[in-house]
Amino acid sequence: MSTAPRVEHELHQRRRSRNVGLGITLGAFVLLVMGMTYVKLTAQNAMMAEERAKEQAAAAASDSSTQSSSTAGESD
Amino acid sequence: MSDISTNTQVDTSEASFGDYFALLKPRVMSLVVFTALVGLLAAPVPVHPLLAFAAVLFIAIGGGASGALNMWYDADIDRIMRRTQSRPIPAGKITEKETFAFGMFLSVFAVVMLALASNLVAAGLLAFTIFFYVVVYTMWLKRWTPQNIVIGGAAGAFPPMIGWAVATGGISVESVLMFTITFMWTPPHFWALALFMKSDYRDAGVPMLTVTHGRKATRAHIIIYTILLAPIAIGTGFTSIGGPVYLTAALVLNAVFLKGAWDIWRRDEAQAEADSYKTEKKFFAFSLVYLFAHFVFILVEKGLAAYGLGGWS
Repeated sequence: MSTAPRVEHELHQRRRSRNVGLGITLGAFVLLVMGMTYVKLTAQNAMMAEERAKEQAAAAASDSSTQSSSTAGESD
Repeated sequence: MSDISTNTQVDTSEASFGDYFALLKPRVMSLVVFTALVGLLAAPVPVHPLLAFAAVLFIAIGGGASGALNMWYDADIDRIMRRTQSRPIPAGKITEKETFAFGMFLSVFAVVMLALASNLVAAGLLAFTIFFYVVVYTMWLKRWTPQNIVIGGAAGAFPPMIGWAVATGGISVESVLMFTITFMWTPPHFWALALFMKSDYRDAGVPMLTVTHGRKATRAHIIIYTILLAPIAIGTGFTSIGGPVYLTAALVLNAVFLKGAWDIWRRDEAQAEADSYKTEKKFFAFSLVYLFAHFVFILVEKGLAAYGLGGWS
């Protein structure tokens, strides 16, 4: 049985570098798309919440003005 | 006799990951990344750091893809020019077909991803940049006119405009000025290189100004473009991306650049050959500092503005 160390051929080293490089690139891309999606959705949710708050405030303001005008009508 | 043959030959030219990366012209890509980042950060609209990172990455990939397509189309002249003989195609590591597929895939990928990460204006500008560099410059102008560098330089000047569009979704005077600085800087930068890399372009049959109009005319063109560049670079100091710090730096940088162009114009070939093109090489090296410094000082103004110091207000 030979005890000589197995030397990896340079060709396999290059193939390995390509495979590892591609694997890391694809992994990084998946993480980047996840991050982008999270940021975009968070920003969209914040905008929607802001719009809802504005709508609620506008509705509350119109309600109070309707109430005050009807109260004024009763007193007449 | 045996009919069994053993193939002991190994394809020693198989490409590594680094060879594919080299197709993207990493040195050019670093300029694209830097100027696009400055355009993005100098804009008055803030962008989320992750989206800014993604946008600059996709701009860089788009720029790199156009570099790969340039290498695919120019493989024949890259084999002749000493400066480009070690590129992956002339070195026999990647085939022309592979390079074409790689460049096309990354171009489409970069444009689509930039549209998703930012907006359609930025993505449209990136698509136009790739088209301009590959079709207008590489396929059409480069081998046809000695003004190839002038018009082709536009492709390298778009990244700060794209960066600005990522943040604002549009185009403005400031982004056009950043484009114009790089656009007007490109001809003197490359013509200085052409003066001391003379044999390469002639051997490849590329109609560089030095080959078609001679060295005296090239020297005159360098000073003309440097004179035209100075008011644009200095004038940027009076816009919203400029300020006293940028203006002071621009005045000094343009004075030095003009002095270099003047020195080149006054020399003849005998003087240049006597000192191995020392002045031309110095001008070329300074041209890199010149462009880098202008964009750095735009960033400095932006940074100072955060403390109420930058700009004219």
